[in-house]
Amino acid sequence: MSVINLLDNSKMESKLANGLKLLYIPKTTKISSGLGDRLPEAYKKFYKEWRHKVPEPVYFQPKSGKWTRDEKTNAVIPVQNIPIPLKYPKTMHFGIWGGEAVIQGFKQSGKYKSRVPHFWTPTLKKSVVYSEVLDKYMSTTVTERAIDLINKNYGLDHYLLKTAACDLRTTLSLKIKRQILMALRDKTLYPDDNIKQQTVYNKYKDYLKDYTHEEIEWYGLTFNEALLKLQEMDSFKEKKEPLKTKYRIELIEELKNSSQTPTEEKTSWLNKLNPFN
Amino acid sequence: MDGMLRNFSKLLSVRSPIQQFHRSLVILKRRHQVQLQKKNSKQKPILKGRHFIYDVVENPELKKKEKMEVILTQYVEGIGHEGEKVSVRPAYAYEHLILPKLAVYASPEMVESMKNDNTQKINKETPSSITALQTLNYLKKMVISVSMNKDNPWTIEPWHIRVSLRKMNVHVLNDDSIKLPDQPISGPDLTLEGKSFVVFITINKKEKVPVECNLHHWSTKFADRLPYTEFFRRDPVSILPEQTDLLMSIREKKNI
Repeated sequence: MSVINLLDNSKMESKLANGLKLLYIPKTTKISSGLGDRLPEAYKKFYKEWRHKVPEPVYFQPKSGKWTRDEKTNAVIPVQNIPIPLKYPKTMHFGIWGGEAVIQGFKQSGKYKSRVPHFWTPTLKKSVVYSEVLDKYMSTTVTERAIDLINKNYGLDHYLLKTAACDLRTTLSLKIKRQILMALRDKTLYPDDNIKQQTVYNKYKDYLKDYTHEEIEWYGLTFNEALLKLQEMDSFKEKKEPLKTKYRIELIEELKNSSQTPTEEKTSWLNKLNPFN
Repeated sequence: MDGMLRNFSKLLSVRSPIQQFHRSLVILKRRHQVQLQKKNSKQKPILKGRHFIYDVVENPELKKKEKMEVILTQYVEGIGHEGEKVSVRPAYAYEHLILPKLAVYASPEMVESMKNDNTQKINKETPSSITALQTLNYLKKMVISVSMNKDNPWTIEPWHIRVSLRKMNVHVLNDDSIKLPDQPISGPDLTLEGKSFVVFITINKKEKVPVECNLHHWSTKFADRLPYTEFFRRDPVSILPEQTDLLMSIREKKNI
């Protein structure tokens, strides 16, 4: 009996698992519904890297390991690093912020004091960044952390190419990354100096392994830009002429043919009526 | 009603939360921990108001930044020679060395390539020391007041210049590095008062600088002393006619 019970149990479990699978409905996102669903996989990959991936912790120190002890009770509890929610203002897209953002929260000076709203915002400064691949100086708004990261990665190009889109976050840095990737892919860097071109290309060519040709084409575009690009591609691919032009041409030809052979039989409407004619 | 008004006026006086003079990147910590989530749960944790009360753990930007290593691509005054690996503050390195391409980052690949290059760049002209050019520019801007006796006879010798320089906190270690004009200047001669001549000073037996000296007569008796004048602002008048052009050229550079 016990064996049969066990078997039954396992069957039940598998059925349940199947049922749960059926129950699972993936969450609708911008790229899985509406027009966004039509975007190519190359863009969807980038979009996931940009918007869905969890960025590296900036404002808190994640605890390492699997288990810790509770501070008060000394009980063993699992480590769960729940990230601090960040706010991304529109103006950040005009600069390189290096993963920084705005934090909305409260300050509380004592247990029995009222909590006071507080925004922790990054300090911005105007500075210049230099890209070796593009051979360009760019005046931008940056944060101290961004400059720090550029220094630690030995240059803007290395920093942008190494870092995932979710950590760069701002459209400006993604646009520069896109330009760099395109220049490396098409080898349009340093068009006048062949030796320099080769040395710089060799320096950064390893980063190209992570992307295909099409992925670079779609990298760093905002959602709206991607849709526009898709629209443009569609129009280019199809180039459908309206049917009326086709019919018009047909009609004109028909008329011409008919004018060449004007042999219309003179028939009265009575003839039509006669079924034996 | 009064109470309402009072409270309302309090609300008006509360500072807007956005106008804060606060710096940026801070390490925060939740005062109240979020309750434990289910294992492998795909749902977002529920955050209540209390979970948004943060305490500042650390403020890394207020700390002093650690120095950064860069490799110089050319001689930089006061920093180092070409191909030298120097450690400088990151803000200075980024703005003054890396952006103008005076230096490159000391990445492992760069260090190796620079090692190979160093063998080829031995016979290049370099200044005698890191600070030699800075010293040169400093001396160029100077107008030395050479105070000589009003009563006893003298002829200007290198040690006179050395002492005058010492009064201006420039210590010349060897008199051989001071070269006077060929024609001797002797006195006391009040026609030479407030006029200038040029001496050449050699730094590290390599760089030669013309330095303007202004002659002044000085007496031990208080009553005989000449009044103080701002000789360094006046247009220089040369004692030796062959040095007039040189003097004018030095002053022009100074004004720039």
